Parts: sequence; C-alpha cells; structure tokens
Amino acid sequence: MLIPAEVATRHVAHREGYARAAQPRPMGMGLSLSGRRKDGSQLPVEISLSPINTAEARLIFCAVRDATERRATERQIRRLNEGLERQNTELQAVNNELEAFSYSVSHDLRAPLRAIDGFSKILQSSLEGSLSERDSDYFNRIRKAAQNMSKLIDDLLTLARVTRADVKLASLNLSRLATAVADRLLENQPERNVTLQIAPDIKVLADPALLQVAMENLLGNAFKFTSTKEKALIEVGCMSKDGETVVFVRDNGVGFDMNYADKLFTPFQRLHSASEFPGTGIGLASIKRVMSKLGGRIWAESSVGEGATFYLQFARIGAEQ
Amino acid sequence: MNRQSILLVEDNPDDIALMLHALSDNQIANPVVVVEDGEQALQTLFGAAGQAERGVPALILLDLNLPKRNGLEVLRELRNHPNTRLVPVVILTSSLEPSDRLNAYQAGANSYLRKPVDFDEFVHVAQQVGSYWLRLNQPAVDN
Repeated sequence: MLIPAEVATRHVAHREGYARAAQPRPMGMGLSLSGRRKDGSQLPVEISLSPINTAEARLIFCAVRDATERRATERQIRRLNEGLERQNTELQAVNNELEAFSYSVSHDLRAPLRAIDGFSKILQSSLEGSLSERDSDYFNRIRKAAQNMSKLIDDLLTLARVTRADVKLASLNLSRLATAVADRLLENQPERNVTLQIAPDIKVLADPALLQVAMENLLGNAFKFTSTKEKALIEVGCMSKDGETVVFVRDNGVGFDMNYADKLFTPFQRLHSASEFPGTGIGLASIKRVMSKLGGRIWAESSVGEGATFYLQFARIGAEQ
Repeated sequence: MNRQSILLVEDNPDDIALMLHALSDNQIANPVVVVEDGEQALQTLFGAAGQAERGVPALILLDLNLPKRNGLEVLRELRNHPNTRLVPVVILTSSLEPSDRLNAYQAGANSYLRKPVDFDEFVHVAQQVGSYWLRLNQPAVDN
C-alpha cells in the first residue's frame, strides 16, 4: 500500500518519531487514516502498530486493514440514528398535540351538552302542565341524546388516555379490584339480582390505572348484558397457561354471535342496538388497548343466549425486569 | 361582596345561567357575584393595585379553564394571600383529567367537582355544595 501524496513527506517524520518511543497501538485507535491504491485513489484504513524488540533491532509490526466498509456502516448507523431522533421529536410533538386536543375535547365539547340538557330540563319544568305527552317525549329525547354524547366523550377520552398512558407494571391483586368495581355496580343497581363469584387472590402483572379501566369495562358489560336475566351470574376466575395467567370473566347474559367475534374489539363496533343495550362501542376497544399495553391479550367466547366469557392473558409475573 | 357571598368564577354564559338557576332551585339565598375570567376574580378579591381590599366571600366556585389567568393561577394567588388563604374554594370544571385534579388539590383546593351534563345531577351538585359549604361546614374564620 502507498502513502497518499499529501502526507507522504510528513509520514517520514511521523514514522521516525514513532520509532523513537514505540508503543503498541491497537487497530483503529482514534486516528482517521488514508491509504493510496495503485491507481491513485484513496481508501480509509485502520492501522495497528506493535514494536517487537529483537537482539538485532527493534522491528515494528504493522497491520493495515481496509476500513471502507466499516466507515460506510458507521455513516449509515449515524444517519439512521439521526433519522430516529428526528422521528422521535416529531412523535413527541404529535403526542403533545393529541394530549392538548383531548383536553380541549373534554372541556369544549361537554359545555354545549350541559346547556342543551340543562335548558331543556328548565323549559320542560316551567312548561309543565301545558306540554303534550309527545312534547315531553321530545324534551326527554333531547336530554337523552345530550347525555349519550357526554358518555361517548368520556369513553373516547378513556381510550385516548389508555393509549398514551405510561405503563408501570406491578404485581396486583385483581380479585380485590374486581370486587370493588362489582360492589359499586351493585350499589348503582340495587334492584338487580346478581350473583358474583370472584376467585380470591388472583395476582396479575399490570398497571393499576389500566387494570382499573379493563375491569370497569368488563364487569360493566357483564352487568349490562345480563340485565334481561332474572338471575344474573357473573364469575371472575383464573387459570394458568404455560406459566402465564389467564383470567376469565364469565356471565350468563345474552352473549353474542361468534361470527362477529373479530368485530367485538373494534372501536364504535356494536353487536346490539342502542335500544336493546345502550353503549358507545368503545369499552372493549379500550380493554384491547389496555391488554396490548400490558403485554397481554384478550379474546372472547360466546354463543347467542348462552352468556359470554372474556379471557385476559397477562404477562408472566417476574417478567417486569 | 360580603362575607355571605358566593363568588362564581365562570366564563361560559350558559354555565353561569345554569348555576344561578340551580342555586335558586335549591333556595340558596346567598348573594352570588359572577366574574368571567381569572383576572377579574383577583381584582374582585384584592381590588386593583393601590385600592383598598374588598370583602372575602363565604365560598368560591372556581372553573379551571378561564381566560387571562386560569383557575389554578387564581387559586395559587388566593392561597398566598393572608385574607383569602383559608376561604373554601370548590373547583367546578368539565375536566376529570387526573393531572387537573392533582394540580388543583396541590394548589390548595378544598374540593373538586365535575359539572355534570345531566341537569338533574347538576342541581343536585349545587344543592350539596350549598348545604355542605354554606351550612354544615364550620369555616376557619367566622363569617
């Protein structure tokens, strides 16, 4: 290999300087060196130097390696890293914007609904006596529509919150959480005849806020879709599958047609009409997102009229590291 | 404003009308002073610079999302000022965001309520707030 013309004269002095105080120098140490090919073109090289002292003289063992590919790879890694950094900054900006957006949705979309519901109610009260049954029905429809939209906004906000939540995994007692959620549901519907069977001490690896969203939605659904049963039975249990915890929530409600099972977890997708069972179609989509954030998954089994079972598979406890 | 007054800090005219209606529905007879942004709220409580200080209300109903100075800024200033440090402040907002709730309590809110969309619930909230903070609760300083 030849020395590039522009350093050839300096190289003599460098070589002599090195020989006077020769130290081993490993391959690729700090210096950006070039060599010259026979045709005059240059190539990046890495050079290692090892002085060897013999009885006759000090020999310098010199290995030269073509670094073309290595330099190219380094450049590419740098480019990729810069690209990633840029994307990251952009994503962060989009995320902040989304956060501001859902905040504004929460405030600004709800205020007009309060006005629609409130003034309808005030008018309805002050016109009481002079309203026909049909007029009253219309007022009730206005109010019901406003309240449904408010529920829809709440559910959308929950979905958005779940999506952007920071996940902090910990071993949690799902039985205790399910019991608290179910007790609240029972309190709100004291006229219902619901038997709850919650297996004790089910431990799962989850984030407390996200698990709360999942259990509220699942048990809320179980209550809702058993509302036509005289005696509702809701079970929460647990089994182990390949070391992973699978929790099931089973009810004896109206169930659903397995042909539509894949649509169940899609936002806004409903399998029942609003007059049968009210809802926004966002609950199960939220749970699906929760489970994927927790590193688990959800699926369901049912047949019409036979109740439904939802299975939640959680990451293995101990997998948080 | 006197020591029986309720100071309502709310920028949405519909919410103001609904709140006044809900309070009167519940026979809460305390005079209500309405201001529509955070700056007005502070001026009403402290007067413009150099002016004598005004009376302190029995209760402040404070929205968070307000023009000029937002609810949190108003609350922090109230808590920094000896005259208003102990006035009961109930946050009344549309937001249920966990960060809003945390910030409000950290800034010294006494209570945090969400304005319900269902007007029956709205009236109920007004009734509960009135009966608790104006009748049941014993304030730090006698009115």
